[in-house]
Amino acid sequence: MIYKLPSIYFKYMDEELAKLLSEYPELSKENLEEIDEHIAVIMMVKGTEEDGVTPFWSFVAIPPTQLFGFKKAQARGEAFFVDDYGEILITGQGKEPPPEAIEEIRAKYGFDPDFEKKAMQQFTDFKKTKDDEKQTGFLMAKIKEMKEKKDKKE
Amino acid sequence: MPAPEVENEPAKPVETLQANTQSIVAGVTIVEYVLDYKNHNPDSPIKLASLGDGANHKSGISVRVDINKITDNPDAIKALQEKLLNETGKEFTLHESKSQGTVLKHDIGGEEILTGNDKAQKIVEAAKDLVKKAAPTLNQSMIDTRIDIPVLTPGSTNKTPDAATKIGSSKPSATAAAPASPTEPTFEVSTIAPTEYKAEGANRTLTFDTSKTFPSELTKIIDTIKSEGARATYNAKDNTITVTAQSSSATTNVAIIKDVVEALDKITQFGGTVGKDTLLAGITGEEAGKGMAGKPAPAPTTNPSGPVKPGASPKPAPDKSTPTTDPAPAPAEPTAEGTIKVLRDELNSKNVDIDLSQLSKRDRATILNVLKNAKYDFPQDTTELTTVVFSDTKKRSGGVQALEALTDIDQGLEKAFTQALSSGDKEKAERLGNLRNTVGSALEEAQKSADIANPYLSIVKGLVKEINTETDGMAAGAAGFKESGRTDAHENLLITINKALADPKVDKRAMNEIALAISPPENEKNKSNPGITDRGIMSDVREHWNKARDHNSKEYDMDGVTKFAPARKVTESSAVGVSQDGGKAQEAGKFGGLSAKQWMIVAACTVLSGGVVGGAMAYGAIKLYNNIKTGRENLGGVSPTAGVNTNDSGRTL
Repeated sequence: MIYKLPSIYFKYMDEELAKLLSEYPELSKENLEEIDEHIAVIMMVKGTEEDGVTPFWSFVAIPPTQLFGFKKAQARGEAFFVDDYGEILITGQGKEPPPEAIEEIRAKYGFDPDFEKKAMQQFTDFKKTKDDEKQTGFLMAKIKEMKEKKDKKE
Repeated sequence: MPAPEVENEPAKPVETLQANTQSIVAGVTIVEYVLDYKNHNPDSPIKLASLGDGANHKSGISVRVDINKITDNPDAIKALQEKLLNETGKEFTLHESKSQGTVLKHDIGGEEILTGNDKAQKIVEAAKDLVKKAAPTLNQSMIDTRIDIPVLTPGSTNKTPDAATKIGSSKPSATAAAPASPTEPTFEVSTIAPTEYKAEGANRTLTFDTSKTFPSELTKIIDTIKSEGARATYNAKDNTITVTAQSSSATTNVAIIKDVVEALDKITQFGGTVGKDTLLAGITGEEAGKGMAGKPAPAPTTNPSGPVKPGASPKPAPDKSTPTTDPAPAPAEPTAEGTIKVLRDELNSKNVDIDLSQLSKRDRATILNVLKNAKYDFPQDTTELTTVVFSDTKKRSGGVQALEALTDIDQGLEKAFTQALSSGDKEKAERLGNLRNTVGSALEEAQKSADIANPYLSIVKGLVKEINTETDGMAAGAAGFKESGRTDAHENLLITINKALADPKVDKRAMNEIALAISPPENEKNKSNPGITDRGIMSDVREHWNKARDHNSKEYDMDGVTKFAPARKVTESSAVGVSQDGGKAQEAGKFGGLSAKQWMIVAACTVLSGGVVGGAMAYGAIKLYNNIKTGRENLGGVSPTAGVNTNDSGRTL
């Protein structure tokens, strides 16, 4: 018996991100689906209210695959619904979140101002580990394929 | 030479689509659609030129190849893409649509096909031309017709089986199979004889013996079956036709089978030991829960342990439990012949039960495990658990919670089914597939109950579905656009919101259910409804909701009714942590409790998305992002993984 298998992959994910992620075997459909179910990146967000003047701050929990869309919406420079991309955990008016808000986030979810820096370092390091030989092999095959194509052209 | 089995073979033995890398047993379907929509959605992937008639519309055609049956076979999909490219000269890209699932799609823009005023005809002709090129076996005369195209396995040739020749219908059919004609008929009267009727989960199948059917009638019979919405499988070896109705609802499937019988009665005679009337009476009996001849009556419902609420400790067997000397034995067969019921005594009932008592122990355990995995809090031992109860909360009714639980079960079973398929465990896959059909029927019924409890919710959900379909570009042409640039469904949704919020009979909880239905897609709190996928339309609807809510709050007490957060301009954002399952990721190990793989994905998404907003991210992130992008084009330079350098031999340094 054949059943329709509605894939949720690519359904709501930004196409550009999906294309980038498809380069990485670790970021398979199953892994991304699973991680979005369980993991959210805590973002500290600042900006202005609809009036364009009143400053606000928020802490938002965004599933990893939605980060790209969120950043794109931010880059457009227009007002948008932040909670389209994740769950607003706590929000308020003012340029900076008050210490008690930060403390609340730290207690509930953890708070590390250097998170992105560490993420980048880990991302790079991760590729250097022996555990990633499978991935490297895949990439090497791709590079070899590209090189052969290039050689053929020459 | 006996004719081999064929199923939905094309009418003529000419070339068909072929995947050359993987064995594929399922077919693919080509579907074509006319699009006609206003440029209200700048994010739409379909970019088409304006028409020359001055209308403020953008039109074109999307030709889609339905590949839902082969989504677990990426190599086959790739091979099919290449084949389509070779056949048509057009690139077909992978696309997900809500209504169709996974398709390969090619859009024909207005600039390619439209000149003069006769735009509709040119659109149709262009689509037909492309489909014809993609599948030369087709003799398609109607747009919006679905046609099965077999994909051959490696080693087989691009032709229909030797003995499968076209039966003498003067009008070739695009949709019907072409059964073989092994011998000349030796009988005088053409009849079909029903031989078997089966219920498997929600599915219903009816088999006819066609050994005494004129071959010239077979194609017409198959066409008739398909026109009633059922699947027709002709087995030349056994000389049978099997009719399969496999929608998610058993009630619908029974109705389809009955319609098929009625329709066939008009073109041929029923022979054998079971005539049409007996057959219909049997099916009607099954419909009424009487069971078919030869099929055991459903086991009596037992509830030995009583209901248990998610999150609550198991209760001792209450007086509700039925002491019985004859408890229902767990069926040994790994099938889902039982049903799941969602019980709601009255519309305002505090508790809604999901009754699993008619399922086998094994299927019950599967479902409860799915719920456990979906983070429902169950007692340790669920072996005797037959009913799960959902109670009303301040904001959410028990019915909606039960719906979400059923949706979770459906999704969990889908995942388990996929895993079983990929691991090659066909028996398990079939059991899970049957169970999923059973859950689907329960979900449909529960949906009806919830809709009755909140009539506006039903309308809102229907309109949201319609909007999402339009967003997918399927039916916008039919819907049309108002002066405002909105479609009928879009405007009707705003009107319905006004009505619901102004109706004092609709309580806060019901209004919050509506709010959830129009909240963002895949909202954690809203698993039973996909929400509005088009962010532009969703913004509009949410703004309207807030305004209508505030307006009505002057007259009614609206405390506790959801108000959506306003639109805001974000100037700065940075990741400061990671949450796991709604809480703090445990601080064990280097990755804060995440596995290396999970952390890798979080880091990749964080870093890659950081590249989008240049000024807001550290220089290193931008550099890394650029490296990733350029790495794909540069040989011997920075690889796409950034940080993995290579030498000429391709080894990692």
